[in-house]
Amino acid sequence: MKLSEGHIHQIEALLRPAGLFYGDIRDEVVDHIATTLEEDPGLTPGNFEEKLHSYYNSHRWVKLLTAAQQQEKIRDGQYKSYFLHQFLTLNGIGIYSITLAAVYLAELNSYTEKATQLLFILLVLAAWTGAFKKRWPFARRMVELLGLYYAPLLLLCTQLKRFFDEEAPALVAIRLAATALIFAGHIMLYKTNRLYKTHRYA
Amino acid sequence: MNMKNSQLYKGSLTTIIMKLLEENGRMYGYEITQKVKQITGGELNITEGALYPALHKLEADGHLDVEVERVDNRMRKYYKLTESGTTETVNRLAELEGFIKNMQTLVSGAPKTSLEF
Repeated sequence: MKLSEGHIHQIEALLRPAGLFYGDIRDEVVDHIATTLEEDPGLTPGNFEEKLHSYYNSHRWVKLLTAAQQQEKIRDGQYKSYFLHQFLTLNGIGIYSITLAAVYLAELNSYTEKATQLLFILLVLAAWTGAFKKRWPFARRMVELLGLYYAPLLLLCTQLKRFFDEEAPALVAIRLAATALIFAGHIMLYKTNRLYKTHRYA
Repeated sequence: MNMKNSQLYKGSLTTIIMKLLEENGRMYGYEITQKVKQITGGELNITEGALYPALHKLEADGHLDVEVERVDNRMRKYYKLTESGTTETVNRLAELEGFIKNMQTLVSGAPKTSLEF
């Protein structure tokens, strides 16, 4: 018996709490469950829900989900590596140098300094809240994955000035370098998001 | 895989997958498990927990390409060998054949006919 669209939606609904992020992995799990049920000779239109819940309560569901979650971890690792690797490429070093120069020049004028700070806050908020979910669907996930690297830099940038009446040149340099890194990081985030979008199959 | 022989088959899973794809063109995950079950008469059951990580690893290594199609109200992911996958399949099958030959020799206890020591 072939499953209807309604049946497929029921499988997807049951799978939703598992929180699988990658669409292709999720689709593969749905297809596997659907095909398994379709191959069951005892499946009838009347007992679909019973069969689905029987599968859901079996070790096969657990194994399938565990495999899918492992795949998600591996895929996350690949994207994280790609994101971090970009800083080591010629392109990445170039982008960082340009943002560092821009941040330094912006501080020479109070208006551009304030504009830079505003842009900084907006970018950080957008990344953390996933405000541009439609255009940057992957950004929120990457921020969650990279939070370990992101948070100390964020603190460094925003809080350093508080502890000193007058910032020593070294501290100014650290603050500018960290701010430029955050800006460059958002550009790398955009590039990683673009890679994610091209790799989405459906 | 069956628990009783999982350790014996573990290292050969990717070779089995690649061999099947070489013979059948493109296949989807569930189809691969059913084909293996059919060929071995139910002796070897590849579980979801073993199959999908192996498929995704082969894909990440560039040995498999993926095609997605809408089939029966859902998206289905088909796997097929790339050019490098085809080459790698030949290499792995040769390696596996050598392994099987050596194991047969060791297990049967047949004396080597070669004069080398």
